[in-house]
Amino acid sequence: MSIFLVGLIGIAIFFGLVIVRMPIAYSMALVGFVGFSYLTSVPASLDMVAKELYNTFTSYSLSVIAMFVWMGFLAYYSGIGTSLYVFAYKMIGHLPGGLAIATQAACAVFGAICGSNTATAATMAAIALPEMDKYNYDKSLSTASIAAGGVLGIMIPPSVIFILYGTATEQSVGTLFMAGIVPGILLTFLNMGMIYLLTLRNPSLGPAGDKSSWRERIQSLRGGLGEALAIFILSVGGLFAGWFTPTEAGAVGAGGILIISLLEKRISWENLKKSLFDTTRTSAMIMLMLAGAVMFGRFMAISRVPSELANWVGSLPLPPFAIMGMILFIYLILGCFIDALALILLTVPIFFPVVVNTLGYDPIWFGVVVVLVVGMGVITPPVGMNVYIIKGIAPEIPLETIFKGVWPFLFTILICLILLMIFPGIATYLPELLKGS
Amino acid sequence: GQTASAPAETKSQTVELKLAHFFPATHPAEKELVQPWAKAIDTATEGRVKITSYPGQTLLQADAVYDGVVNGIADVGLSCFSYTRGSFPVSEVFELPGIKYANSKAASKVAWEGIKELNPKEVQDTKLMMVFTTGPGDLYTKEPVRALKDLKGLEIRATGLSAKSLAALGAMPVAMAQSEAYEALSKGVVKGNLGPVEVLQGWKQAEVTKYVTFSPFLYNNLFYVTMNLDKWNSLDPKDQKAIEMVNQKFFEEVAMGLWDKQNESALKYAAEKGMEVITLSQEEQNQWISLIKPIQDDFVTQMNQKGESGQEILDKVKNLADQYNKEYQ
Amino acid sequence: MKQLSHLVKKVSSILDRLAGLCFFSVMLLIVANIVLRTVFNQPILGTYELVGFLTGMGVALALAHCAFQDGHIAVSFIMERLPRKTQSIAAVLVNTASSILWAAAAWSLGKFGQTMKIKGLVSPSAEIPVYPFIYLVAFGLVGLCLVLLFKSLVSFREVLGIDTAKKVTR
Ligand code: NA
Ligand code: NA
Repeated sequence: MSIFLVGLIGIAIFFGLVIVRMPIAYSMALVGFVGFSYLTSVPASLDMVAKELYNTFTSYSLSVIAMFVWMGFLAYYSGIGTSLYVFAYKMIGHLPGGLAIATQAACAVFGAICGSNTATAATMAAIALPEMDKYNYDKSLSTASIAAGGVLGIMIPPSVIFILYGTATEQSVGTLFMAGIVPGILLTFLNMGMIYLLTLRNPSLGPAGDKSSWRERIQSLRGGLGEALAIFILSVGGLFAGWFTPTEAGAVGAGGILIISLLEKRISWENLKKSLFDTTRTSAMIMLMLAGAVMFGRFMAISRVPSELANWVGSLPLPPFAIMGMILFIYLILGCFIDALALILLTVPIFFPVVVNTLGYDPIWFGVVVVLVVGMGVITPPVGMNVYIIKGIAPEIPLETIFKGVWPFLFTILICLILLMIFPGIATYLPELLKGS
Repeated sequence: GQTASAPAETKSQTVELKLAHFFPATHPAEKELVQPWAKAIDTATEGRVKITSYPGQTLLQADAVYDGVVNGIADVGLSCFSYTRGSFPVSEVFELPGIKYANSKAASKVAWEGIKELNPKEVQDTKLMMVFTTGPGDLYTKEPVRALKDLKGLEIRATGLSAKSLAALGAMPVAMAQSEAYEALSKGVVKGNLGPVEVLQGWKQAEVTKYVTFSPFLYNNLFYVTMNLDKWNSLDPKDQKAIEMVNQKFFEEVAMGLWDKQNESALKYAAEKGMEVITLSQEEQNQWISLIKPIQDDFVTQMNQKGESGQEILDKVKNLADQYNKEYQ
Repeated sequence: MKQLSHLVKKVSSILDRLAGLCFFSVMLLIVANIVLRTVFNQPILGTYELVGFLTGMGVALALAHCAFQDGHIAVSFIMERLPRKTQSIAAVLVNTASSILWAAAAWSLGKFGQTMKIKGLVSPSAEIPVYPFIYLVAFGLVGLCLVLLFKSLVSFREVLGIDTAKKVTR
């Protein structure tokens, strides 16, 4: 049996396990373990499993996820999150879908502090889901829009995906960061527009409230908005002043909210414990899933499914835009099964030379494109990390409800991709402008 | 196992080996060393030994490579000893600060000849194919470092032995991944980095630093290429011999000078970016070296505790360094 | 059965408390290091490594309680359409298979820890021995195994018709 076929069978078995209700993390780990055993040996595979568990759990760069998750829960339990949403509701709650639109803006702003899609989705879900619930927002819309908003975490700098791409392709991380800004803002607006259209067609998705008077609006500034602003200024300011790195920003955010909440007696001992235990549960879920994804990725790597697909496409006798289209299609397919980081490591080294050297596309532009397709991958079933994280934070919401809500946002990413293909300047203009000056 | 495939007679002759390493697929270590080396082995063994490379940590994490080779996850591995500190106590001698290396050629030759002579127990559980090094590392900083006093309290990214050296010199070592360093340098979380100047180009750190201070006694990093012992022993002796020849050739012609080539190009790149190059006076260098001497003493003490003759090992390496620094000026 | 359920809950939540403590320490350590570094020019040696160790401990110790609360995400809408007995049988099989997987992983981690103890692996800068943390991750997985075995037992009793829970345990 060819190893390629073994890879495909592995994917099929993974589906089977998921259907009989084995948790996603276990399913990926089990298929990764068995498949890797088959292609190497059982002792080798046992060793692989041990190392990946240990390495994922103790990874310094992943520690940031737990910290941002805690920050999100602290914001929720201290009521600082609520105050943000009361304010947002007073300002634009009279628009259909207003709060979901405001959440997109919040995701974009948060993306300027946090470099990870998983952490952005987790933090924003902890803060925003209960609030949108209060105003009777449809769960499908509220969850899916946060899953999609999480993608802004890797599009707007800082971004782990750009760092990884820059490393794999020897491109300047700084230039990539610059290139992500405009597409990140564009995607934010596209998502907002999508939410607006969806709720316009079906107002029950995000019921519009009464228009608030300016008096009420100004009053709502008090509840805790100043605190939220202070945390934001501390985080972004500290990043730009060079006090701490993006990886440290999560702990600073969590610590900041904790100190303010304790000083202002916003959080009870009981709620503080709750925030911490919600964090342990969510972090354990996310990290085991990431470890499972890495094991599955190791199996995929030696089965050579991703690389053979990539090589095949690179060798097709087609015009550049058609090959580019095929590459994007392959990313979409692989993105269904392989997590963001593994996807970059497996495919970028193969596609990059084809896209840049053979087809002649701009390497920075391709980096932005890759982040967008990876962004699709984190919200598509069956392996859609952002969706699972939101499910972990709101366990009562069925997965299919979230996945059902995701489709319109896949469409907005696609629009963003098409715009980038037609107007590459969306990505390349800002870096060139800043380089020129 | 993966035995269920293909007709037995034709395949039994071919040994397929998986090689794991952490360099990106676009890195010279893959394109100029691993790929051509694998091809040369294929040719030299008339197609009996085929090596497939898995770059970019797709098969094994950088710090899991050596054990992965021991346990057969990969058959061949390329990584750094320093990623698993404590596991290779003797080999740490080649990375000790205070020993001056002229370039990566000299440093690689010292390391490879030295390891062959010392034959430390820690690497006997695999078949070492070659050891090569980055050669000396330099300081690249946002503020000029012309003398010891400029280093005082300066935040510099470093881990392990280099962190110790920098602390001994009065600087403030800050640990972080190389992938984080660009951001940290650009925002000023750290004011400099220590390592082969190749990083200035490879990781584009020339965009966010202004000065290079040559410090050819402060840093060296060893890479190994090693093979699973059982796999090696299972090979036909004539194939083993052929592979040894290829190894020698690729060590001499490619590996030992791999970083010199990259450093040279990176220095040109740095100059284009307007970086200023600083060379320390001999007197200043001696002062630095005397400050980091205690780290060498620590090494000797620790070796002695393990029942090895630490001073002998250190002296041997110093002699080799003198010899090959002259040879590879 | 009820006593066993209490015991499993108790043990996993004690581990979870320790996990919470770990995450709390991560925050304190990072913030303290930033303050000491930027204000006093005196960072804490080995913060980078300690944060990794503490996070790993936190995650590993929280695994069991997370599983106890059904916190590891699964797709249930297909199984929910099947008869209860089929669901329970599937749950027995899935939980047993999972506990074997994680038991194997825990065993392998134990072996890995032992090897690293002998080899003397230490963290790069602070030179802290690594093996205790490997053992701790193994320990967390053992906790996860126990919870999964307990869940198999619960489902098995459902298959036999001894217990009928309101909701099928998965
Ligand atoms: Na971001
Ligand atoms: Na997906």
